[in-house]
Amino acid sequence: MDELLRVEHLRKTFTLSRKQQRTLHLDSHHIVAVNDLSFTANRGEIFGLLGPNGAGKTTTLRMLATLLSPDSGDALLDGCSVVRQPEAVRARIGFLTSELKLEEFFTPRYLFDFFGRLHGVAPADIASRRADLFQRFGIDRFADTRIANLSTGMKQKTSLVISLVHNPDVIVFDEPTNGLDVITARSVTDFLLELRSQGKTVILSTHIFSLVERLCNRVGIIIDGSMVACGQPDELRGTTTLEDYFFDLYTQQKGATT
Amino acid sequence: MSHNIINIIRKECARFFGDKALVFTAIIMPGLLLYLVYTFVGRGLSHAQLNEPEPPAVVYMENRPRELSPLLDSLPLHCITYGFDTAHVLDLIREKESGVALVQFPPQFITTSAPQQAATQPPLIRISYNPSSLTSARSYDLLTHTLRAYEHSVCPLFDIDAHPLSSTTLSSGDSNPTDKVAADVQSLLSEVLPMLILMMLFAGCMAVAPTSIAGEKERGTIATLLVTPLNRNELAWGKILSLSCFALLSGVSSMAGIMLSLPQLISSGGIHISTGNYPASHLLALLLVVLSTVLMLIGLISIISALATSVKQATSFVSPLMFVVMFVGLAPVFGAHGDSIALYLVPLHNSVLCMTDIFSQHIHPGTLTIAITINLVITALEAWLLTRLFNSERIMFSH
Repeated sequence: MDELLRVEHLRKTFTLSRKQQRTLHLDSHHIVAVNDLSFTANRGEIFGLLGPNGAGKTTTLRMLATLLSPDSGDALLDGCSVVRQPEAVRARIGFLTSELKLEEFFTPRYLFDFFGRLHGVAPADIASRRADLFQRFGIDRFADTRIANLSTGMKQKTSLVISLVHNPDVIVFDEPTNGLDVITARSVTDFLLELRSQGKTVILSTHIFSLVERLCNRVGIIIDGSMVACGQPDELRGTTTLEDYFFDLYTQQKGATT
Repeated sequence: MSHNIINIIRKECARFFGDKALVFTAIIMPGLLLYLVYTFVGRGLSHAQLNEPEPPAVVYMENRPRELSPLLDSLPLHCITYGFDTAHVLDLIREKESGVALVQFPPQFITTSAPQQAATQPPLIRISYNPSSLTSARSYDLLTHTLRAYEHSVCPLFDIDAHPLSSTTLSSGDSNPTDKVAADVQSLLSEVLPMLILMMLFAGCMAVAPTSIAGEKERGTIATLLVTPLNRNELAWGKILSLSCFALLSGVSSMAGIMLSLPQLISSGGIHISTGNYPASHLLALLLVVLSTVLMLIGLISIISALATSVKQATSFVSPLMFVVMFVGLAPVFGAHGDSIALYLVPLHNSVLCMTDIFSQHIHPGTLTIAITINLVITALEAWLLTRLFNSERIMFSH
């Protein structure tokens, strides 16, 4: 297998304010969000990060997107280090999270072209990719409507196509179907499968078991910032369901830590 | 300039100029409002003056020489040359009797024996007037300039000693009334305009920078930019340059409003000026000073906006700076002038000093270069700091 992403011993801690300390009933000023996390992802593979809220999935993806710097460890994306070559990494990935917003004043067409130029895509390629992606997600009818006037689903789809304007080899999606209706969610998951068939590597975080079973070649289960299991969903769950397997792991971990 | 800086500038321009309401409130409205307010005030004052025509000043003249009679009688003054008691007239002036002045020529005042008199102490003409009375003060101005013009026409034969029986002093070196008015206006412009310009520029910067930096942070759109290969330094420069253009336009609009209304406002005080009498080199120097000042101010407000978590917070952080800017802008009014080159190294104050120099037509290329260079160096430092802030996850993702 052609390895495209190697995550090595990533660790990330956050400093807490006194108010946060009181809320979380913690004595320490620091909280470990990601603890010694390692995994790899291959070309043409969908790798899922599965875990409860606050497990460290989003922090991990943000480190891969170079928005956050790891305290220690590194991740190599197509040979480029997120620590030492953040701009090269950003040029190679498409990152989508609900926290990244689009300026509501602009239209999908303007923003697609703008981000295409920032990624250094040739104008002709921007135009052809825009036509293709807009048509596929039904954005073409709203291409000149301001983002502010689009529905939530259409905004999400616009964010998705803009994150892929430069045709990246690695696509990092944080909870890609959150807040979408079933039709839109389906079109997004189908598209992820299509990207995989094109040889792209997709890293996605989710807490939806059915999504993992349907999409992911491999899955890493994160609890309290640590990778507690990693492998193919079928192998991991054995004869039980992925959901039951996860709850067994969760109970073991939380029981062991408390 | 890198293509990404141009991309950011293009996007900021599309955002700013595409929003008609923003263009109106940030650019058109300040100038329009200032023009309307100042014009309204100026016309109101002029109208009040037209409704109350002033009677001519009563000027008592002691020992008036015969050769000066035709000249002094031609002035719009009511001259009395005999039949008065000098002490009584001085009492009238001291008691602030409106529209009264006294001119005391020395006995045997001769204006035609120039060589002899020039060698000795020139004779003294005393003018006593009441500066709290507009009519009396104007009669003093008129007499001073008329006599000075006469003096210059015949040789330096005599001296004039003004006796304002209050606080006004006699200005010197003006050969005719037109020059005096021009000097007054120049002095007024050099003291007041730097503060007005600085305030307008700061207001322009405040109108655009917090919305663009703190606003993008608040709305989560800056994070979308930060996941592209865009260098943070390019983002900082793209923001600073584009926002400076908008702030400059806002400042220019405000200045245009003031400049267009200023002649009407000042003419209401009896002075008629034209603000278009500065050479192109001075206007170019002014433009460079203003541009470098805007860049520096935008850099500063951008940094504060980046540290804030919302537009509201950014505006509240920046507001106190307005008082600092106002205080610095008022420095020339309180007599702070650029006597030392070291003062041109002080940011913001150097801009005020340069503008004062330009408006008083005492421009110094050396100090001008120092001030502009300092401003640009500070802008570069601000861009560097803004880049660091854009790189800081704690700053960019704190809510």
